[in-house]
Amino acid sequence: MKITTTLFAFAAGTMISSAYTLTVTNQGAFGDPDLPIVDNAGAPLSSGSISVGFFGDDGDISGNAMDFAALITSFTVYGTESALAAGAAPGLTDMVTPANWSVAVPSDSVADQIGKNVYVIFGNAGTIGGSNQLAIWKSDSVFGTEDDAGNGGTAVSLETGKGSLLLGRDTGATLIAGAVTFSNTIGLVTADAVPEPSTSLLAALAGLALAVRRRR
Amino acid sequence: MKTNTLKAAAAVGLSALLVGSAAAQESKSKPVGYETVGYTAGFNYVGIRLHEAPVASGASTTIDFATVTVADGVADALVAGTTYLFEATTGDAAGAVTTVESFDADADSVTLSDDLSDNFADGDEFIIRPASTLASIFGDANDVANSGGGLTSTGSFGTCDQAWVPDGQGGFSKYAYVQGNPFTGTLTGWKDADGADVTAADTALIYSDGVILVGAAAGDVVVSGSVKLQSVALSLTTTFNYAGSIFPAGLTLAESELENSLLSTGSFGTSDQLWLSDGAGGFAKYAFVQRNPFDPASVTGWKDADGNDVDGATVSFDDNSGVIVVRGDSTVRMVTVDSPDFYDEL
Repeated sequence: MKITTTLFAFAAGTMISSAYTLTVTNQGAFGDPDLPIVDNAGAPLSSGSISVGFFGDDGDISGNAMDFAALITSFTVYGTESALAAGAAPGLTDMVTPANWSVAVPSDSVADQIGKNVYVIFGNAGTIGGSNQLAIWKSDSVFGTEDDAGNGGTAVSLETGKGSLLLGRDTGATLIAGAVTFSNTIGLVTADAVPEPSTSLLAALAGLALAVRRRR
Repeated sequence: MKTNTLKAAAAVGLSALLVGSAAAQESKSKPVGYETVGYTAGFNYVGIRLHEAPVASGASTTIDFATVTVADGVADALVAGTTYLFEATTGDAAGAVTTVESFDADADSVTLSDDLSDNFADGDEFIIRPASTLASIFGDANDVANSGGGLTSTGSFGTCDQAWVPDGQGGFSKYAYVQGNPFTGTLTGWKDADGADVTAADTALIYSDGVILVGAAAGDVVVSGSVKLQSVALSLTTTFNYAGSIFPAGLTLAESELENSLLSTGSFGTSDQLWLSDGAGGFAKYAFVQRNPFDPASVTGWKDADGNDVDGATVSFDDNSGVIVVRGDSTVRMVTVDSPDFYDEL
């Protein structure tokens, strides 16, 4: 994973401890349209890891869906990854401007992430690299810069209509904390959950060969 | 940080420290007063909470997009070259504040900077008052702040006290009173950040917007004028919105009734937040957050950034003439700041 550089802002001759901060939450409504995070068996995730940042291209995700190591390498982390903070119930998280996502991005910065969508990676283990199940959410929220007063940030809502699930699967209606049913989820998947293109291709070729032999 | 000579009045009613003054076309005396706004070196979030007296009022006859037809005499009270604020006081648009783009005394009409016609109907009432300006607050010759000594002024914009006015799109127009340079022939006066001359009397400071006073050194400025008594609508157009707290004494989270118009979700981070400067570079942050249905003990209400319940009646804006309103999402939103209840008796 590439790591963004932390800068320090100076404004009007005064050093200020400014930062551009992120919030990621899926408990805005405590129900639809929030998307709880579940593992590949559909169980609400109560621990794990989370990282925010950006990809150069969505193709980096689809092209590496079977190779998590390559996928993670193509991801540029904003700040540092974090343990997934427990929210109001398993499957929910509420990460409000955690310190490891506070990065100085002065108003005149030309940092690579500026203007790009915020991507969020979820893992089922304590680190993204150590996880064998991942999900990737592409938020409609976009990275920006601080203003000249050193204030800035954006909020990512994990909810239907505010982004898309680029890696993972929606496991459908899920009961959270035995109390509220959410219609859709962000479901983690393993690297073998999606047939490798090469495997699919071989199966297709085998079918084609069979068809050719039958014609003879 | 911000010394408010009016705040002690809140407990006994604002009128205790105010003297009556007849606004030009209002039959009832309106309270006036002054407050001393202190600032420190660095960023200070301030607002204009005392205003020029209204010069006209009335009810609209018709409204056609941004042009309001008014009674005979209303537009006659306006003077060309002055920036005026148009404040809707009744109807669905009550509380809305916008500037007067132009006026026509012959046609008895005023054209506004914003089209209020969706909410401002025939017969709705308004008042018109001059906007505060750089000149009216700090002096055309920078001779108001610091007991007439003025804002810090040097030959370099960067080392002067600066007033930053938000442009509503995340940027600022920046002004300072800069000393002239005898070697280049530049004159002493108000300049923008590009060094261009600025006409202070024409540079409006709209009270619904905050001002960031970037102090090169600590100081204070005395602001005087009349007190706004009615609720005010704020337009939140960016993630970080710098707003004035409008009412010079007695406003609290509870009195503001902002919970009725701010975005409120189950997460502090995606609810609209109010940031009040602590005067030391930090902020006390508040949001109106929905209760957690999985926790029977939780309640919907004002919370701080640590998730603690906050009694809205105990959070005062008296020492914060300016606040930051941080949007929980990226949409434009109108919110209404209600005046303290006791203002109804003034």
